[in-house]
Amino acid sequence: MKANPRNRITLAAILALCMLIAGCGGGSGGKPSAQASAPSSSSPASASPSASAEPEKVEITHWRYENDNETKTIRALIDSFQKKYPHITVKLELIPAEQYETKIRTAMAGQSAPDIMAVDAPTIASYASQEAIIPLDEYMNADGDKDDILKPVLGSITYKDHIYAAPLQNHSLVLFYNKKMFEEKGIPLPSKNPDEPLAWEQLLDAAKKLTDPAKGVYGLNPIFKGFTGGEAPPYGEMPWIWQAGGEIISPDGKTSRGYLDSSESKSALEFVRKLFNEYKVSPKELPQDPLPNGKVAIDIQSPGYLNSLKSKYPDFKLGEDFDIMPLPKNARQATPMGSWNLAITSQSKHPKESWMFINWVTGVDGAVEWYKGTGNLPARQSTVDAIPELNQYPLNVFAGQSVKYAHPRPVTPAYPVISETIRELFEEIGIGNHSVDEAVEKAVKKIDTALAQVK
Amino acid sequence: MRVLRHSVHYAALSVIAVVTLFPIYWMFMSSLRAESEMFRYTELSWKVFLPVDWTLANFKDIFLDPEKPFTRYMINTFIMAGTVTAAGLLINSAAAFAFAKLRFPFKRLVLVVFLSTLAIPPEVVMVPQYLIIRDMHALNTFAGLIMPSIVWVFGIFMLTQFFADIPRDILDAARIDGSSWLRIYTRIVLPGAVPALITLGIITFTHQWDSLLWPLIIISDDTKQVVQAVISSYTSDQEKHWGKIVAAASASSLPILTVFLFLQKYYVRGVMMSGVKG
Repeated sequence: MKANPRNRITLAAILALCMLIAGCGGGSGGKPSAQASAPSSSSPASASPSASAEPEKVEITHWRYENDNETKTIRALIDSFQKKYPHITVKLELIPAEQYETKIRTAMAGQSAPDIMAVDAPTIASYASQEAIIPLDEYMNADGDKDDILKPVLGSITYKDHIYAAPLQNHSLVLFYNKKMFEEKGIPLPSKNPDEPLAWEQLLDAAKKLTDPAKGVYGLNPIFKGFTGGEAPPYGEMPWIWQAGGEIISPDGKTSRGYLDSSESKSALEFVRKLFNEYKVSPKELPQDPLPNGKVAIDIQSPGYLNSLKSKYPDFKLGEDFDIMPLPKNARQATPMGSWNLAITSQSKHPKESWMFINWVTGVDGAVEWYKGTGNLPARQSTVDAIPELNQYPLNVFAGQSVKYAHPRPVTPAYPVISETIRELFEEIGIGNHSVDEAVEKAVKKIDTALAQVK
Repeated sequence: MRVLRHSVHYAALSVIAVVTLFPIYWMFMSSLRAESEMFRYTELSWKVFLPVDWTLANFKDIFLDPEKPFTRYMINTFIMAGTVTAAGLLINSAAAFAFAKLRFPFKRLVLVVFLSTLAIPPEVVMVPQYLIIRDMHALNTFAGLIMPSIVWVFGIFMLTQFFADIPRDILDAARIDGSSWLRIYTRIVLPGAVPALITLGIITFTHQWDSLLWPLIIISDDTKQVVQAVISSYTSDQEKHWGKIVAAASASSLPILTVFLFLQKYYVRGVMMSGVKG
C-alpha cells in the first residue's frame, strides 16, 4: 500500500488521458454555462432565500476524502445550510483518502466532476493551471472575509495572483516527546513556548542520550510518519531544509539550481544523513506508533496525533507520559503548513450556490464550527481568537508556530514531482547513506526538468 | 532411504505451509486484539503470537457501525462477484468453445487480437471504459460494476486450452447424429469441463471479490460500495484504523477461504488438465 508503484502508474495513466480527452474539463467542454467562472454583476451575498419568491431547486455535489471527524462535521454543516437555504441540496460523496486523486481526475476526464471538491494545498496549482477549478477572487472579495485568513494560508491557495480555493483548516508539525524517558536520562525538559525551540545541536544531544540500542529505543524520528509513500514524508522533510536557511526552488518557480543545492540546503541534508548513519539515533524503519510503544523518544507529529493518542492509547497521557515542543531551529525557525481546502470545479453548473455552501463552511462562523468538530488547526485569525484553548498548551504550540513561522511548500503545477523527488532524496541519504552532493545533483536535475515543462 | 527422502519432503512442505499460512494466522489473531495492543509486543514471547486481551471490539466496530454496516458491503460484493462469475462462465466458455472447435473465417486472427488485449494494463482502458459506462448512464449502478468484468480474456484463453483437448471425433459423431452445435456444447462439452469451469469460477470470484479500483471510480453512493473499497476507506489521510482493517480483512477473506476449501480438489484437477499440452 505504501509507495505503491501500481498506484503511481494508475495516476500517471489517468493524468495523461485526462489531458488528451477533455483537457481535464478545460475550455473545450460543450457547455458554455458551466464556464461561468466568475460571478456576474449580481453580488453572491444578495442570494438570500427571501430575495426571490420561489428560488429554483438546485442540487450541488461535494466530494471529499474519508475522515471520521471531518465527515461528521461536514454533515452537520450541510444540515444547517439546507435549513437556511431550503432550495439548495448538498449531496456529499466520500472517497477513500488514498484513491482520492485518482477518482477526482478520472471523473474530470469523464466530465462528471462534482461541483465542490476538497483540494490539498500543494495540488491547487496543478488543478488551476489545467483550468479544472475556477478562481474565487470575486466571491472572496465580496463576502469571503479574505483579510481574516492567515497570510501563509492565503499564499498556499493563491496561484498566479488568483485565489482558487477557500481554506478549511491549517496544519503543522511539532515534536512529541516521551517525558519519562527524558526524566530517566536526566535531560532538562524542553520549553513549551512556540518561540523557544531547541537548536539542532541541543536536539541531537538529547537524541544521543535517549538512544538505547540494547532496548531497541531510538532517540529521534525526524521523518513525519517515517519513510513511507504519499505526501507525509516530504511535508515533514522540507522544514529541515528551510530551518537551515535553504529553499527548495527559486521564488519565481523556474529552477531549483542554487536553492536545493545551496550550502544551507546541503547542510540540512548532511545533518539528517548523520542522524541515521553516523549518530544512529534515528530508525530507518519506523515501528507503528513508536512513541506510546516506547520505541522512539522524540517523534515528529501533527495536531491530529493528540486525539489519536487519546483514543488509541488512553493510558499514555499528555503531561504525564508525553509532552510536545516546537520544531527545532537552526539558522531560522520554520514549520510546514497548508492543508485541505474547498474549490469549485469548472464543470460546476451552479458556481454561485457552490460558493454559498463553501462560505457557509469556511467563513468566519463556519470555521469555528469546523474547528469544534474536527480539532484541526484553524486557517483564520478570527477562529484562533474565538477559541481559548488554541491559546493554551498544547495547542498554542501548533497555533503559535503556524501563525509566525509557517513556510508554504513550493507553489507550482510541478509540485507532485517536487514532492516525490524530495521524498526520494531523503530516502537516498537517510536509508541509503548516499553522498549528499550526488543525491542533491540528481534531485535538482529531476525537479528542473519538471519545472521546465510548466508553461 | 525412502523414509529419509519422505521426511525431507515433509520438512520442506511444512516450512512452505508455515510461511504461507502465517500471515493469515497473524491477520486473524490481530483482529482479536485491541488496537493499542497490536504493535506493542516486539520481543519474542507468546504475546507476539496470541492476543493478551481477547476482544471482539474490532468486529463490532465494523459490523455494528450504523453508517457503514459491513454486512451490507459483503452482500453487495457477493451480488457483484456472483453475477460476474455466473455470467462470465457462460459467456467465456461459449466463446472458448467457438475458438477451440468451430471453424469460421479469421478465427486465428480474432483469437490473437483477443489475446493481445491481455498485454494492455487495465489502468490504460479505465478512463475510456468510464466514459462508455457514463454514456450508458450506468455510473453508480451495479450494472456498471458488473458489465465490463464479464468478458474476461484470461478465462477464454484458459478454457480454449481445455476445450482443445476434446477429440474432434466425438463432436463429429454427434454432428452426424444430428445434434446442433448448441446441443453439443451444452450436452457434451460443458459436462466434461466441470473441473475447468470450477477452477475458472474460483479464479473469477476471487478476482472480483478483490476488485478495488473500478468499483471505487464508478460507485459514488456509499450504500452500493464493495468490501475492498470500504477497507480502503478505513485509512484516512491522518491515520489508519488498523483494528478495523484487520477485522474487515479477516471477515472478507472468510468466504473466499471457505469456497476454496470445498472446491480445492477440482481446482487442482482443473489447473493440471488445462495446462498447455503438446
